[in-house]
Amino acid sequence: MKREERRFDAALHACLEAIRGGASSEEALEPFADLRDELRPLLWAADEVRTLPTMPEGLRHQMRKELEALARELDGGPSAGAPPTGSSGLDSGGAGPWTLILATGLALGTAAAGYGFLQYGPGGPIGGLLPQVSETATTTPMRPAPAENGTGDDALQRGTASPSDIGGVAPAEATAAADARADREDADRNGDELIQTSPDDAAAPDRAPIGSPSPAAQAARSPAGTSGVPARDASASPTPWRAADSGTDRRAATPLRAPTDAPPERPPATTGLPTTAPGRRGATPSTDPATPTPEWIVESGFTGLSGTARDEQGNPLADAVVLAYRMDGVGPWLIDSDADGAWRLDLPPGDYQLRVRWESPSGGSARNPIAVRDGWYRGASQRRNAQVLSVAEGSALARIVLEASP
Amino acid sequence: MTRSQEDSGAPRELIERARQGEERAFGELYEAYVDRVYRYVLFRVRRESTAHDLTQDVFINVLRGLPRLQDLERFEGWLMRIAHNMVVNHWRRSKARPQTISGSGSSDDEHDDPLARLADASSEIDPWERADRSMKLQSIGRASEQLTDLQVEVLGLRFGSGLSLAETAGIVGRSEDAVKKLQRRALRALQRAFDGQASS
Repeated sequence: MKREERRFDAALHACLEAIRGGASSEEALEPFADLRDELRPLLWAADEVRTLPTMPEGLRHQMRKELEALARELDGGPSAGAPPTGSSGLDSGGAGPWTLILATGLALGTAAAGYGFLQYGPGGPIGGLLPQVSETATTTPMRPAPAENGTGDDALQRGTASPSDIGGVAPAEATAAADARADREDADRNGDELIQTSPDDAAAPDRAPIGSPSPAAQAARSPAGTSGVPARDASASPTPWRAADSGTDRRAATPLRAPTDAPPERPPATTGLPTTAPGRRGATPSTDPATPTPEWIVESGFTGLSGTARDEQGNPLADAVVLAYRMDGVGPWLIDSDADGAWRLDLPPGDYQLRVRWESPSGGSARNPIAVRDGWYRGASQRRNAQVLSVAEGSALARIVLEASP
Repeated sequence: MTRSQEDSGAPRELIERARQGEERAFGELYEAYVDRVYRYVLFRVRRESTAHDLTQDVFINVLRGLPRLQDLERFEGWLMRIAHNMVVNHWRRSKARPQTISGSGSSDDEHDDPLARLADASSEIDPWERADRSMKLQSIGRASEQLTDLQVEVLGLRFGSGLSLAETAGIVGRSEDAVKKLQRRALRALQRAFDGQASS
């Protein structure tokens, strides 16, 4: 090998290892100024492979459940019932004659909830059918189960994921002061009464006062919100919220709590927004002074979610797409934010994960001219870490700040 | 998750717990590695529905073989060797070479299977994400057609699954120097293919 080639290979390898260790491409290229222009496109090419899509969340989650079930079925785990492997003792995938049937079990209307289910062997118990493994054996790959009846069999039914199992929930975090400030600015802009939701607010008497709605405002409340429909039905998509067009009096918000010194309430660790529990309106303040602050309030008058879309600097994102994914797989519902980044989604009651996505035709890199920002509520980069919000009939979680990052 | 976090892999203690039969530990092990396995398999078979199946087969084989893994430090290399073997077995069975990479909604042969289509169509992926995935897969699929099988293998192991040069060399049966050379040529070929797409 020529000396220059060797040097180039070494530089390329060093850059790739630096990136593997978490460095950016430009950081990795820094020590190799004379080779930078030649190396950079190769690093980009490697990045294309590195950023290949991962498995869809619903399938990934269902696959984990099935594998854990298999581990459990193996008489206490993987060590029991497993057959001897090849002579090396490190059998590496010379698979046995498994019959793995994936009953997709999906009715089209229940999308993500119904991924695969495994059956092992032709109807027998799992543990007793573990095959011998040999290097020459072939694998019968998991395949969608025949569904002669058009809907699948029992396995199909059992393979339906619980909505609560799809998508993890980010733990409730401590007060996000920036978002609280954003809420205050939002309220100032819209002339709304502000519901005090943060310890900062509680300690700052000059901040917007918290008050229960006036009797007039109470009387003005009306169930103007209509149930949303999935975005695929464009004709019935929810309309974006705008200050002027709302059929509800946003001042008629139901405060989470009276303006006392009581500590802010906190959403439960899972989805649990106590304000939206069935049959409840308004919240019960937490008695735990250390509880973090919710980043939303409850409003009556429509059923759904509303808030603002912003970038990581707090700038409003106009024409961002806000998507609400119901946990049973129906949807998503979507709406564009207005010029101030405000949005409102009228939704049927249920549990949702919120995402914001914004694309700009300029502002991206030379290679990818479209700048894309994306994010899940609250502050998650992936759906599985997104917090779940519950929507109850007749009330809405409002002033949700959705932040999208590059 | 950043690459560095991803590359840190599962702690030995977690692997040991999974080996002892703790189902939750196995689930965590799966979470730690499923992306790397899936990306590698997808890059090689170029079809999402097949990649789903093979990825699950890989982890079933891991579940079965884990009790006999003597050196836990070798787990990642062992895991990816299983994935490599699953892909090779898949090709042997189907006597097919990878076709143009495809994501959801493709109309290639495999997707003539209505259930396969159903599985893809019912993904929870939203329209934007689905479009992104489809474009990305189509692009990289066409580009990787310009590579040799060995080059695809090396890129898949190095960048799809994040293996080290030494681990990759062990799986493909070449020296580390040879793998360095292979990865350079493969990346150049891939880059030329992307450039060709951009100019066409």
